[in-house]
Amino acid sequence: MSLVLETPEAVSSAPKTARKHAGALNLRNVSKTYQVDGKPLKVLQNINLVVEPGEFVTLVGSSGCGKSTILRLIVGLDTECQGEILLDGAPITEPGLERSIVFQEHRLLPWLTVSQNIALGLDASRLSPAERERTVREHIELVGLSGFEKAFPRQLSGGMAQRAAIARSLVTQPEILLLDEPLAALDSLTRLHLQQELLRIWSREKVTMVMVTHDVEEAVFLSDKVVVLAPRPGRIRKEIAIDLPHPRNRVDPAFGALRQAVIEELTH
Amino acid sequence: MDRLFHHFRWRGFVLPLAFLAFWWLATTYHWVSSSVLVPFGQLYQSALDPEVSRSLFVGLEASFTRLLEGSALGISLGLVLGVGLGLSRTFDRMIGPSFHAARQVAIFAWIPLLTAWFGNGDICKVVFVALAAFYPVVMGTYEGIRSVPIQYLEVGRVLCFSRVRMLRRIILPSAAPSIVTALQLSLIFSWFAAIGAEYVIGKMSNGIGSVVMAAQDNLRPDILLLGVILISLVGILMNKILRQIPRYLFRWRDA
Repeated sequence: MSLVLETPEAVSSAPKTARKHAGALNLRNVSKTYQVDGKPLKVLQNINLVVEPGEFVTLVGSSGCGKSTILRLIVGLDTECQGEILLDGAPITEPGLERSIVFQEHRLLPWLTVSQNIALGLDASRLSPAERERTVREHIELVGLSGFEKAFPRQLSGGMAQRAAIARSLVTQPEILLLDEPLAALDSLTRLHLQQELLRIWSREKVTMVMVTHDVEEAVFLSDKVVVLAPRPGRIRKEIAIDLPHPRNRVDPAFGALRQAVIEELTH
Repeated sequence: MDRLFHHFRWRGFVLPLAFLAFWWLATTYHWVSSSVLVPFGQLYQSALDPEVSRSLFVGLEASFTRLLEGSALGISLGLVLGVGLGLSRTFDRMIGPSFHAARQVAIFAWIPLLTAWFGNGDICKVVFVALAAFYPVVMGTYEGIRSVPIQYLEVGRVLCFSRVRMLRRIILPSAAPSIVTALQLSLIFSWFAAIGAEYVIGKMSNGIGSVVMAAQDNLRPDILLLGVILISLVGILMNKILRQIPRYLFRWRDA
């Protein structure tokens, strides 16, 4: 038994620098108002949301409901809002390495290769060059990009570029990973495949994930909890727990019922 | 189709060849005086004359040294100002208007001022070359830094990059193609300026421009012509070499 566990594959595939823990996220009465032509425009209204450590939560809603704004507030790219955003009880005031984000566009730097792009996350870290190289290699394996280390972003397909972006965001060992419609720009086959991959990465990395999507089936397939948002101003209409075991079956009646429940809330 | 394309390419040589034919006829049948147009044979003889070729190559070396000194000065100052203007809005608002006003002054209009300040020796010429190198670098660096996509800057912010790291890892690499294009322009302008300075600012120097001017005074059209041909060849060669650099540096963006 121990022999099986110690095969090289089993040893090398899981990143060794394990994160301290998965983060707990808490949004309390979060509201946000933009000034448009001197008039206030409310984009978020009283958002209250609890994300447990290691939970996979998706935010769904039509465009204009402030989904991406919520993620930008959590990651710290946008800091102006009312209310409180707490990670493990501490308020968020600026970007931090314990939080990470995958954008809809991969945002790989075109002048860096895949492995250089992934190493970018470790640029400011104190790891030795050997440790750094090992961590990058582990994450390239994690997202299934072995063999493409030296490729430039323009040489990658959309799906591969998004895998590299996921590796870059995980290399810093964040407690929480935010995903802003990461699969929206991909073709449907690649999309289905990467949904499986996201689940695999989530279960291996044991990281808290908050993902924005407008694809209801994707939300039900992936998450523990679907948060349905209503637009103008963005507010939470309903939280729907998805208590189906993984792997989930898209044609299962229970799956269909939950998908229907989400769609009803969306089109309410 | 391919052959036709090549046909068109060769048409570019029709005019120069016609000119050479005219030249040959004009000098052979003495249509023009040999002080206006030197016969081929004489040009060839002069090129082989060790004294002539030595003075030309010494001149070339002197001009090139000034080009390097001047452009090094102008490029480094230009990079500093360009990065400063690109990074800081306050600095841009303070310095920008004066810079853009000064940029409107035709470069040769500076010469009387420069000779008044720096005399008509080497220093003045180096400063003039530096000035020619300066403007394109400032503009290219400024534009390059201003057009760094905000998406890339956000990647750096999410990764908690310090200002220096942001500059080194994201802003400068993103601006690099624009900066390198500016450096190419800058070096070409410097070459024009180095030669122009020797034509215009005092002949008491050993540059190739001065050799050409002296040849005119001494009624040596053969040296004059050889000098002009050499100056053009250096310009063409610089252009060719400088064009190859971005192709190598920015392989990542070529399809």
